Amino acid sequence: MTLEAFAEAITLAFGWPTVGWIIGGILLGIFIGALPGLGPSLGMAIMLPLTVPLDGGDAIILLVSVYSGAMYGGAIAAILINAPGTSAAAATTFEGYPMSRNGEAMKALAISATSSSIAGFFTVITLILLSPVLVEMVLAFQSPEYFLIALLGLAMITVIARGSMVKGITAGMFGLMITSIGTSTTTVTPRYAFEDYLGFMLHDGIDFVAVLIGLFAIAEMFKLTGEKGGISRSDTKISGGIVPGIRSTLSHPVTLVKSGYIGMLIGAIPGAGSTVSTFVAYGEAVRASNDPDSFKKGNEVGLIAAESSNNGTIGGSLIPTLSFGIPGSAATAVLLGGLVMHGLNPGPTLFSDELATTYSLFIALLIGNVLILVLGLAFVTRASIITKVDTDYIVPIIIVLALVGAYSLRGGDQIWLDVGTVVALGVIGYYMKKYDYSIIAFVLGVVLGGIAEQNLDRSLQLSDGSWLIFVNPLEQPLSLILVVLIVLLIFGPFLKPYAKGLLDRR
Amino acid sequence: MEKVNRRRFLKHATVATAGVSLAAGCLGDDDDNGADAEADDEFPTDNITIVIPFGEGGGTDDFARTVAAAADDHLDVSIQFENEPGAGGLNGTQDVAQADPDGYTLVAFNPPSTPTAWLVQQPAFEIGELEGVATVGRFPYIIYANTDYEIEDFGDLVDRYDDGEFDQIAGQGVGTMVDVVARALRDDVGLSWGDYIAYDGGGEVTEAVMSDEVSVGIGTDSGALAGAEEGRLEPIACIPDGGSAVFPDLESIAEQGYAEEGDPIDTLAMLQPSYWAPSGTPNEHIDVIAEAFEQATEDEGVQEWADDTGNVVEYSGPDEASQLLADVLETVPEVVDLEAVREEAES
Repeated sequence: MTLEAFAEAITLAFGWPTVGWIIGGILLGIFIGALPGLGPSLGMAIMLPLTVPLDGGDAIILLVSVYSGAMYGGAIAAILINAPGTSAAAATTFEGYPMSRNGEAMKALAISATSSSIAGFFTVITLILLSPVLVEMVLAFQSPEYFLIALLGLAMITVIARGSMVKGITAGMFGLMITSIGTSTTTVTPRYAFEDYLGFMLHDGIDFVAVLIGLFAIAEMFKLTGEKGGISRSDTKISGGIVPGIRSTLSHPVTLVKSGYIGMLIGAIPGAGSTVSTFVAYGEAVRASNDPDSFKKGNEVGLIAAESSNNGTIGGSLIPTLSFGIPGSAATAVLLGGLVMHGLNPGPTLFSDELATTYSLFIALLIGNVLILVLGLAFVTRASIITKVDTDYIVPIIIVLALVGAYSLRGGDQIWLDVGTVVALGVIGYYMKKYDYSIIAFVLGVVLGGIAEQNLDRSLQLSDGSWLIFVNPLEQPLSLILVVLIVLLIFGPFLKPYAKGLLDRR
Repeated sequence: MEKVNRRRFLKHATVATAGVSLAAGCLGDDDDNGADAEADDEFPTDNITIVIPFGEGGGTDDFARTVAAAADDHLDVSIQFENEPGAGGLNGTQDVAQADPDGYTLVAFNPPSTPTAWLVQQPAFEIGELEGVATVGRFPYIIYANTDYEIEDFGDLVDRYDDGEFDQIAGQGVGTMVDVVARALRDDVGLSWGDYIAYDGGGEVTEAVMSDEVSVGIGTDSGALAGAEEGRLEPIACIPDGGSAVFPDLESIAEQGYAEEGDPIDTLAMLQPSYWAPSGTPNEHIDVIAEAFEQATEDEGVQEWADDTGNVVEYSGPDEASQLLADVLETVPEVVDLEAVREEAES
C-alpha cells in the first residue's frame, strides 16, 4: 500500500503540468522571498485564490513550492544586503552579511543554496519515513514546553552574544520589552497602546518583521553611507566562488546534518517551532565551535547551520499542519487554507486514502530542493555583483525596498506604524551596533517575547499558579529535561572548570 | 441601529429610478450627498477592495476570499483583498466604517463574532451603522472533548463538570465569541466550568484538547474534523440548533434536551460569514455587489468547496444581513454580562 502510493506519487509529481507548477512556484517563491518584508505567507496568500481552477494536488504542490522557494529566497537579501524577510532568515544575516562585506558574497550564496537544498532533501526523506512518530512528538509538547522552548532560545543569548554580557542582557531585555506593547492574549486590555491618540494602531503590537528590517537593513544602510565603494569593503579582494562554497558546505557534514534535524524537529513544534529553530541551530554551532569568537565576522559554519536548519523547518512544520490541521506559522496557516479549499482535509485520511497526494507533496519538495540547488548555484550567485556596486546607488534602492516591504506588511493605520518602526529601529540599530550592544540578543527578545509570555501565562493558569508544572518529572518529564538544558546552557561555562578540576584530581 | 433602519426604510420607500433623487431629497443636507451623486454613475467602474480584518489563513479569511473570488467573475471589475488584523477584527472594521461610502470598500466578518468584540471593547465607532451587503454562509461552534474520557453525551459532560472531574474549558482568546459562548453555556445551560483557558487560534484549542492539556474545548465544527478523524477528539454536541454539516449526526444541545430551540445561544454560536459596507453607501451599489455574491454562492466551484470543507454556503441579501447585525447587537448584552467579561479580562 505504502509503496504503491509512493510509486503513484512519483508519477504524479513528475507528470506534466505538475512539474511546471513546481518550477513556477519555486521561481515565484524565490522572487518574493528575496524582497525584504515579503515572506512566504504573503506569497502564498496571493496565490491561494488563483489555485481554484487547479486540481487539488497541483494546487498544494504549487503552494508548497512557493513556501520552499520563499524560505530560500529570504536568504538572498539577508546575505547581500542584511535584510531578512522572515525571522527564520535573521540568523542567516549573522554570518552571511559579514561574508558579503569580506568580498565573499558569491561563496555565501553558494553555501546557502547548497546547505538549504541538501538539508531540505534529507529532512524530507526522514519525514517520509518518520511521519507517524513525529505526530506523537508534536502532541507531547504543551504550553509549559512551548514556554521553555522560548526560554531556551532566550538563554542562547549567553552563548551567541559575545563581549559584554551586561550589554547582551540589556539588549535582550529591550527586545522583550518591545513585545509587551499591544494586547496580551490573556486580557483584552491593550498595553502602551496610547489609544486616545492612536486608536487601534498599537493594539496588535509592533510587527517583528518590521523590527528585523529596520534593525538589519536600514541600520546597515546608515552605516554604509559613511563608507566609500560597495558593500564588499574596498580593502578586501573579491574572493571565494561557487566551488569553494560547495566544498565548504560538504566539508562540514556534522553541522549540516545536525542543523537540518534541529530545524526539522523544532520546526515540527507548532507555535514556537519555526521561529526558534534557526536560532537554536545557530547557537548550537557557536557552542560546538572551538573558536566561538570567529562568529559574527563571517563564519561559514554559522551560515551553514542557519541555512540548513531553515529549510529543515519547512518539512517539520508540515507535520502538525497535515496531521491535525494545526498550523505552526502564518505560512502553514495559508497552506492549511489551501488544503481545505481543495477538499484535502488534514488528518488521518492524508496518511491513508490520500497518501499518494501527501507523498507527491513531499516529492515535490524534493524536486524543489534540486531546483533550488541548480538555480541557486547557476543564477542567484550572480547576484553577488550587487555587493560591488557603489553604495551611492545601493543605499537609496535598499531603503526604498525596505520601506515598501514595511508598507505591505499590514493594512490600515498599521501601515504607518510599520514604516515608522522600520525607520526608528534603523536608528536604534545603528547606535546599538556602534556601541556594541548585541543585535542578536535584541532579535531573540523581540521574536520570542510574545511566545514566552503567552505560554507562561497559560501554563500558570493550567497549574493554578504552581511553578511545579515546569519541573514535575511524572506529569511533564519533557519540561524537566528542557529546564535542565536551560540551566546547563546558562551555568555550563561556569561549571565546566570545576567539573574539569574534579576530573583532573581523580 | 437607527441608520440600519433608515437604510431599510429607504430601500422599501424608493423605487428604481426615482430612488436616488428621492433619497437625496429626504435626507436634505445629510452627509450622504456625495455618495448619492456618485450613485448616478455606472457602478462599479473601479476595483473593489474587501478588507478582511483577520490574518491570512484563518476561517474568516478562507470563507471571505473563496466566495468573493467567485463573485469577481460576475462583476466587470476585480475584487482585491486586504488583510488588516487587530483587536478581534475591530481594527479593519473601523477603517471600513470610516471609509468613503461609495461601494468600493467592504469589510468581511462573521457575526456574531466581531460585533461581540465591539460590545466588549466599546471602541469609538458605531458598528451597527454598517450596511449589510450579503450573508453567504454559516458554521456552528461545537463542544468537543479528548476521546480518552469516553464522554457519552452533553448530559454526561454536564454531570462530570458538576462532579468536579473537569473544571477547565479551552477556547479562543478572552473576550472573543468563544468566551461569550462558553459563558452562556455556563450561565444559561448549566455547564459548570470554573476556569477558561484561552488560546490564540482555533487550531491551538484543538491541539490542547488532543494532547489533553485541557480535556474539553469549544471551536468550529470544521476545525475539529481532523482531530475527530484521527480519533483523538470526540464531538459532544453542536451548540446552536441547526446542526453541523461537518458532523451531520451530531445532536445539538437543544436536541439533547439542554436548551430550547430559538434560545439566544442559537444566535451566539452560529457564525455567519457576511460582507458589510460603510454607512451611507448607496443602495444601488450594494444591490449590484449583493447580486454578484448571490451568483457566486451558486457557482459550482464554490458549492464544491462548501461540500469539501463542510461549510454551508447560503445567500441572503442586504436586508437580512442588516437585520442579523441588529439582532446580534441586541441579543448579546441580554444574555451575557459584558461588564463581567471586561472585568475578568482585565484582571
